[in-house]
Amino acid sequence: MPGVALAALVLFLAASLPGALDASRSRLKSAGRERALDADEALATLRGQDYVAAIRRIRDVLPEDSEYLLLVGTPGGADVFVRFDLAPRRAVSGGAIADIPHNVTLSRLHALPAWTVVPRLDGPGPRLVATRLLAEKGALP
Amino acid sequence: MTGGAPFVAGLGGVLLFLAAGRGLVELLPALRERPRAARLGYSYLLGVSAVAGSTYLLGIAFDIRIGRGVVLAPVVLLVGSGLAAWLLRRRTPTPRSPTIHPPRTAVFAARFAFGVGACIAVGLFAAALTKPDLGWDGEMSWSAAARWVRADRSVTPRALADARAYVTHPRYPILMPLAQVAVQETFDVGDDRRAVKPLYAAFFPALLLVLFDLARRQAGTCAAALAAVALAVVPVLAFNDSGGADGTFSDVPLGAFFGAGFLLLLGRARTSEAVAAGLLLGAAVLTKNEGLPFAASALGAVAFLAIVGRPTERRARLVALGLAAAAVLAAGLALRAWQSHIPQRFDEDYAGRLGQVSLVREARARLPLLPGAVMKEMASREDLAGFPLAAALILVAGAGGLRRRVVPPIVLCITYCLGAYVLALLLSTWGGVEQVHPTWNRFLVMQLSLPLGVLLALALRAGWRSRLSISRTAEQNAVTRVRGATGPRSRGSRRRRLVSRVVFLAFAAFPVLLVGLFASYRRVQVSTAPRAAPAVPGSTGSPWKEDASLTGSVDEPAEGASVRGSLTIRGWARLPDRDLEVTVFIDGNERASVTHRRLSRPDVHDALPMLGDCASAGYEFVYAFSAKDSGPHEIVVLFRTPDGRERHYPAREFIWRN
Repeated sequence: MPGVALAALVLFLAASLPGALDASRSRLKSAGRERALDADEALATLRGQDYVAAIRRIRDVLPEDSEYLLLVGTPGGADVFVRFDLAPRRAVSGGAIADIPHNVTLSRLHALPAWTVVPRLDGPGPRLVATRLLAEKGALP
Repeated sequence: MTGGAPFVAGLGGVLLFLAAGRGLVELLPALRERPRAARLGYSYLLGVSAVAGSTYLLGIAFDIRIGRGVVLAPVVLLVGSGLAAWLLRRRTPTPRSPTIHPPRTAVFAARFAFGVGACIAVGLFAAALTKPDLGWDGEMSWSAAARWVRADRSVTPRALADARAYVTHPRYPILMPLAQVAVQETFDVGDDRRAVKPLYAAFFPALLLVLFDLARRQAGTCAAALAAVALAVVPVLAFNDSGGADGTFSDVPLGAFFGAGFLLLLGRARTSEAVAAGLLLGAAVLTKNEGLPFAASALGAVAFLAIVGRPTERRARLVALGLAAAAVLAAGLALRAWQSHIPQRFDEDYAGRLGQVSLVREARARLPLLPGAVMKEMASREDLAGFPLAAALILVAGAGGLRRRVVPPIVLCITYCLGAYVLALLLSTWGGVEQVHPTWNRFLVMQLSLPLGVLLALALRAGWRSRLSISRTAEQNAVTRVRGATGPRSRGSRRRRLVSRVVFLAFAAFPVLLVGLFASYRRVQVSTAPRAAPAVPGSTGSPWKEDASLTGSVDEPAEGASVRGSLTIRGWARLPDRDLEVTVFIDGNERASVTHRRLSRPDVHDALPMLGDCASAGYEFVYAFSAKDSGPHEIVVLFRTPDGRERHYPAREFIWRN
């Protein structure tokens, strides 16, 4: 009976060891290709050029020690990724895009950050919009 | 930043922690005497614990500004102390212990394990240095916390301490984010994600080296090597950015700290081993929320061993247990002190729900679904590649090897941890057993890898010995010597065995009793809390005209309700042609909510069809709790129209507690 333990291990290793070594080899190979990328280029391999360019534009406008209104519940968890890439800027939850008419109103404007970030992973990437504009229009311009 | 900078910072960071830990290991004889490879593994774990842990504790106690000096001070101190200890030791010659030559098969098995581990680790480091993917939780919580901490140079940055900031899991312990900051500050790197990933990748070889060392002392070199290889090739442990070493989740660090600390306490109960175990278990507490229950589980299991173990070793075990418990208590108190500065929000808040939900009802609803959900996770070829089936076969077939004194405490500890996992599942705000999907593999493979690995090694040893008929070679003699008090149980009387089993069952049942009592206490505490007279929100002098015909309601919280943790205010507000704007006053003040949204209310439409489309008639505001909020409160919800009318909905009282 104890021999079954060894047999089980041998079978498991036979099945999974080649895969583990191959995964390691493929990562080494791809690391050779990507070793010279700078931080933005590396991020672009993950999120795309448009996203990185948009994040860079927003960072230029918003100082590091600032707050912004972040619309949440966007597809693919875009708000989570955008919040991280804009950190240490602090996000204030602005609710979902559909709730802009209720959450971003003129009467509340005094309590809200001046800028709103609309997160998006695809296409042109995240957008920066003046919160006042959102409050006046009641929707994304 | 070009590709070279993260390379230097990433590998430099690993060397920084290794150097600090190596200095510490030199001060701990029980670890210093271990083989070089094992010292390397312990050095890394202890280095991260000491450097990030000291920054955390100094930040909590003295609110120091975190910078390069604060990071490097413990490194310099530990390296200097270790060097001094080494020099002093060299001046006093000590007798060398006789060299043990292990059998050729053991040497081959060890080399095979090291070779496999090294091959996988090389690919892992290559990915860490070039791929910027941090994983979902890495971006949501851990690495985000590191950026906020570094920007404010404080362990309580504004993003975490300000209830207004939108932060997910703000009360997650930040030991690993502080380790990230240590690397970034020391090497003055920017926000390049790749600079911090090797810090996590290095936990993979460290964990394997420590597993090999701890398992070798219980089961011999061959079995330890095979167990280490088995864990090394489980895909989810290495090449997975959702909890594995190829991301910035804190699960692998937690598993390494907790497992190494626990298993060190099952050794010979030397003081220096206990000190190391205390540091590692303390680090586990400061690494993840699971750390505290896991460390308590480890202490409970070691207490069991101290009680049922040989009387001659009891005193040493109790001293070791006391040292480790003091470290865990200190870390737990420090964590609680830190969390008291962080308003709770956007979190499952398990502790807050204990006493609020009926555990029996939740158990009836959720536990029947658990086996199916767990089986589904364990059947994942991509993540586990058949490891659960192989492990189950090995443990069943090699059960003969599990008849050892060290096994009951390991089983007890795993049972406690499993109990904590199930309790969290019952208290979860997630529906049914949805939480099993993102957490089960992390729990089983990453967090419990070391105790599980030792059990596998013991089971494999039974198979190894039966196949090759290994006699008591020099290696076995050495293992027996090292194992000492935790050797085979053979001389105990039947009565003593019976007592041990009863004590085991009592230890296993104790946490269930404790949780039940605590939940009942919390329920009583909530229901008997005093209420204060309600305050009246000021609407005098308002330019708005009061209009009682504005229709709406406050559904939650109910009048006199006791609310724990985050406060959620729900209801609806609508006229036939439009939704009403909703403003909430808590004790007369409009307070910033962590989230506010409109909700669909088909039930309102069904009851009052004249209101028309109620797709956004509902509202929901969530407010974070902070320490000063504890006690009775009053809320007033105000409904407004764009044409200047308003209605103050009748005030509602509730009791708010953490």
